[in-house]
Amino acid sequence: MFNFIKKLFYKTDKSSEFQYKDIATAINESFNNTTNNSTASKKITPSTDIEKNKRYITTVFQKCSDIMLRELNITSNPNYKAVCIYIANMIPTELMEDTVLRKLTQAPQDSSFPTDIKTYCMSLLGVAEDDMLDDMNKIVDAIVEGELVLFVNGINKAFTVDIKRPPARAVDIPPTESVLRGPREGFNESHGTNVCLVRKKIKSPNLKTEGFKIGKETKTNITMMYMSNIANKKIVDEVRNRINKIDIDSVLGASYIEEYIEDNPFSIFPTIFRTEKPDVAAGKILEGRIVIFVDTIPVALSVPSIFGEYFMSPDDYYLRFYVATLNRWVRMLAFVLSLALPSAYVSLITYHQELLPTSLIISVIRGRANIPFPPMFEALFMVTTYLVLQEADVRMPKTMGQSVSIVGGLVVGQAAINAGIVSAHMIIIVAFSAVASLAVPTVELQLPLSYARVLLLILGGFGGMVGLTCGLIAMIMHLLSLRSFGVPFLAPVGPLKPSELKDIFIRAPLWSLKKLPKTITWKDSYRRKGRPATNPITQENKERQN
Amino acid sequence: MLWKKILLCFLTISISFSAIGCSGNKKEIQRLFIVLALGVDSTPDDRIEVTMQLLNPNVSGQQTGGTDGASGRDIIVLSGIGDTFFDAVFQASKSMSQVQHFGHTKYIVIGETLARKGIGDLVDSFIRIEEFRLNTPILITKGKALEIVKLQTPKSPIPAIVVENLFLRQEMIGYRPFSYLLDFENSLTNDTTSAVLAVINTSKPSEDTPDKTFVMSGTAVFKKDKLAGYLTDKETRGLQWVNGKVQVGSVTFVSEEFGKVSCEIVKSSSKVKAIMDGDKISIEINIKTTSDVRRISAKIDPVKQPEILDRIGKEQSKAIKNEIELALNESKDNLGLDIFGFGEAVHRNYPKEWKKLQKNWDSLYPNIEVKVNVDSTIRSTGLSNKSAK
Amino acid sequence: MERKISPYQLFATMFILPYGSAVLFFLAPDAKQDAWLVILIYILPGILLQLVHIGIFKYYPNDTLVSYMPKIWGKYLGIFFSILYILYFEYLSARVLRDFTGLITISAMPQASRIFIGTLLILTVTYGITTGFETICRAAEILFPLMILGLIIAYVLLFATKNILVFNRLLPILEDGLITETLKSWKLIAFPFGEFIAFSMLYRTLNEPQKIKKIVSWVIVTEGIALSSISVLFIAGLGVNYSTTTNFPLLETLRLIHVGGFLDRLDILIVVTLVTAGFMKISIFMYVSILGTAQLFKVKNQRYLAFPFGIMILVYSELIARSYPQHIKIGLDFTVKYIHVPLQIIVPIITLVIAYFKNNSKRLPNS
Repeated sequence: MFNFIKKLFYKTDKSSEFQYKDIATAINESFNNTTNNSTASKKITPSTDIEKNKRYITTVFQKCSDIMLRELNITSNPNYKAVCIYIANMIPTELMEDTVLRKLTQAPQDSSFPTDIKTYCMSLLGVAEDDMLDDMNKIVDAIVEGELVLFVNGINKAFTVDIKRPPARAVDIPPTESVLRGPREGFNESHGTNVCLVRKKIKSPNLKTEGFKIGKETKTNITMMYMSNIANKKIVDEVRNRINKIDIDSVLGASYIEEYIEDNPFSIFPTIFRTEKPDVAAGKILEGRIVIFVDTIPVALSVPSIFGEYFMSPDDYYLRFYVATLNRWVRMLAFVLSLALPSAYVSLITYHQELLPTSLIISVIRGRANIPFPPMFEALFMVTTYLVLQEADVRMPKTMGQSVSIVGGLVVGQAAINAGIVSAHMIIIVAFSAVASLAVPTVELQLPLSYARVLLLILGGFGGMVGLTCGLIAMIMHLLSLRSFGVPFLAPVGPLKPSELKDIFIRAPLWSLKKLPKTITWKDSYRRKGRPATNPITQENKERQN
Repeated sequence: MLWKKILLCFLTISISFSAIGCSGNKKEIQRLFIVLALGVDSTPDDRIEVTMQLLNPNVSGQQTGGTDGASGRDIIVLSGIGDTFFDAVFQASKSMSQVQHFGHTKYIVIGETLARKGIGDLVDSFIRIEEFRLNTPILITKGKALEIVKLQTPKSPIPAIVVENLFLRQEMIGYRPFSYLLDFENSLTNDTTSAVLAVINTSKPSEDTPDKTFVMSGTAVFKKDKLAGYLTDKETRGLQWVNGKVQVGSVTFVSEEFGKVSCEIVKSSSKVKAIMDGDKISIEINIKTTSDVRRISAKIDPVKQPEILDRIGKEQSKAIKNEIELALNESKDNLGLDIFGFGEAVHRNYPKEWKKLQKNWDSLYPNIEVKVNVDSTIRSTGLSNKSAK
Repeated sequence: MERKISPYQLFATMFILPYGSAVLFFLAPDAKQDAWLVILIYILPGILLQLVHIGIFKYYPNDTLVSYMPKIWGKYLGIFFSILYILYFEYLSARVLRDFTGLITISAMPQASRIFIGTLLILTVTYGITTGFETICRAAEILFPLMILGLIIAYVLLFATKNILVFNRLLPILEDGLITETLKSWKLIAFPFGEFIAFSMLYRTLNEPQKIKKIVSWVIVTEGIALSSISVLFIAGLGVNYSTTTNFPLLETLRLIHVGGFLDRLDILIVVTLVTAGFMKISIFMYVSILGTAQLFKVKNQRYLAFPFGIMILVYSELIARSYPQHIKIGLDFTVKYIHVPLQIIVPIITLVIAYFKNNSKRLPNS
């Protein structure tokens, strides 16, 4: 601490600076050393002797009890030894026996057997020469990926067969996004399944899927999906660059990728949209966005994202547009109320009592007659209680559910009022704003909302309406300055583009959303036409009338 | 690195600034005494007595509309005497545990003796206090303001709201003039128009209604800022006819043809114009009303003879004209004060001449000629057309 | 070099600038009930004044006020004028801050200290400026329709309240004659119509420079109409005498709204509008002075200047007047006569003349 002050206010002497720099470079170098090990390693070719290969594999994978080595004789001929190496739980035994073992150990049917054991295996397993691995490092990678690796005595390359079936959850209803109407499939942990679910919806060769492997220890598969004729090439290139630059040891959640590629790491608002439903992801792709899938994580990330997206629920597009528009207004109103209502109430009753109607003032005074705390602290107390309850709710095991909810209700409810700790008005306001925050469809926005609410509460409690307005203005300025991969976050309201507003505040009928959203694709092209003027049914009706 | 140091310095300065402001700028709501009504009187030794009707904060909100109502528990009345308004409030505050808050004052009532001495300074103070809103009613009472503020109506817990509702209702009926703080101030700063304020009194208890209530009775007329005289109910209505503010109410008159007739007014409007003929000033007032017949003695059949309604209308016009002339006479002859704003009418129509006339308006006003034209339209005779009897 | 802004963004930002504080005052009190007419008349001189600035801009399309002063007046005199203008913009920023904090402490929160409210506002403004000028323009884009909407709602509610608006108070029209009244209110050309000088620093950021004349003319016309309509509200609602006496006519007019028994106490809208309009105005003036300083002293990263300037303006706003009436008097008398008129009118006209001669004489050898 003292060093910090010294450094800030006095001129540091050169030697200590040098020392500081030195430590940093030392750390960097050691880090680089670990990375250098795996990438710049030399190529090791397998030997033709199967025993040597076996020994190499067993030394690399010593103390790994789930790596299996199964020896077999090709065509049951003891001269042709082979060994299969695989991970036990990745490959179901019957599958392996059916597809690989039985085929290999069968005696050949025709007598034109093996001129060459290599061509025989290649034709039997369906592997081409180029696909065979000749680098032990790559073979180790393949084993770890879960593939079946076959060494044959006499061949210095290894065969790989991809029959892995890792354990995975079934395709199920996503727990955080529920809809009234519309498909209920959700992503699961296998990224192959996820990509396939999207392919089911978009049957076009323009749907590109680019793959990456990120993470030194986890080697997670990342897939980037976009439509090459719709998405903006600059944004696609930018996303690709950023993903390629990620230098990380493990990828265990989508947020690992998200935090590396996002534009504004210090903002409380998310600039990358997440979804668990394939129809939402397909919709985003068709609007020109890029969707990123991460293996073992049931979430799709979509870039670039704008603020309006966080108020859209997939239901909007599956219900009629009047209802959808009203639903959107309700959500936006809920967002604003949830954010500002406690702060407005506290600042009004603390500083601006003349702005409330007289009867309300009378009932508030009567209600607060014996409350010991000032309104701001009372509100903070209530909001904190709600935050704690919210956390407890997520962690609550099902077996303890009943008792916890009863206790929670008691704390917040009548008992608190009767004890004179909080007033009834405050409970109503805070409970309403807490429930209103749940009306926002995306979880990423609900949680920042709770904390922004506390910030505004403190500002309103200390500064009155002036403080609250300043806080809201600061929030709006912050939102206006955010960019998501080059697209302004508050577009099309931020830089105002009236033609794009059709899908933000209202949900215009699908037949009127004819153009692609220009803010994302920067293209000015039509994707659908309007309703046909003469629908066959109305034509018939008209003829019947005449 | 230099900018970091500068930044830190400025950061400390600014944070210390804001720490200054955090203290002492809060007004806790439960520590406020809401003043619901304000009464100002003058004491015999020329000091000001202020009476305040305050909300009692200690009553719990769970009253189930008890049988004996709120027997004085909802409000507290405090008064103090001092040399000025603020002095008196300060004296009263010696027995208050909380700070008074004027933001919800429903009305201000001023006693007659103080009004006669002049209330210009008092009204100026009210306007300077930012808590008073400009649409706060000001009332005059014939006795002491203390009585009005103290009065507890039996049926409703907060008497200030009773007065407020009374005030608003009477406005439409036309038996009280427009008397908000803003209008009084405007009339005071205007050289020629005289200010008018509504009068409120307590009713005399009778056998049927043993408790006292409030009664609006007429208008108080001011010369500059001193009370000069009163107008009765009918004269007040005459004034309001000229202002075009009578929206609801009934006109009763006796005619030879139809007997006693009562018509209910639906709407009315008025136009005041000044005409100068050389040196002679005359004012023309055109009033248009629409009304329905409600009570009529004679037997009529308006379906057969629709022109009956025209004749009734003419009779009604005469009655309204009488009311207006009552007011005019009172204002011109007895008081000599321009309460109708005729001076402003001349100003609007003849701006150049007004510059010369403005100084002498007081002497010119009693001699101006006023022509009143009333045009009444009887819209219908209610639900039934023929007489029922 | 800042990012470019679109014509609509320029329009919105230019509109909000004078609107922010002009709605607070009763402009042209000397014209009494014809104040609204006089404001409409002064639209024309306002446009002419801006055409002078645009004329200079056309000769130096990539320069701001601060950077073309040295080019026109020569090195020493030019830098002197540039510094003068930078200080002028800072002074205006401090004046606006003082206006707002003074009014808020008088009307809404009497027990809060001015410094506290000033600190809140300045911190928000500083944060807004560090996000860049483009953000401020985007915010103006959103705020402009909201302000117009607010004005319309105020109108509707005032009309709906019975007996408040008395249009007879607007008569007699032109009591003293058109010319006398127009000349008596000559200060209108400095405030509010002269404040657009701040945009001489920002004209170069427009991405379609040929539209400048059109945009500026439309802004001044809209501004004039909006301010004139607010004057009509004041006169009809409060009466001429009270409008001139009161410190805060907008608050008093909005307090008269009483519709349907519940739409009664709408002063909140005042505080919110005040803070928002004040925020925009202070940030534009502060940004312009920071930009000037960055250009003059060749500072590379102008974001770091925001915080010191903020503190300076806060302190400055405390020092410029000891009480609110003194502040108003200085604003109406001293500032208009000795600061606004020379810097907004006289210096630009002379600059235009010199620029004309300089650039025409440059062309002569070629033609």
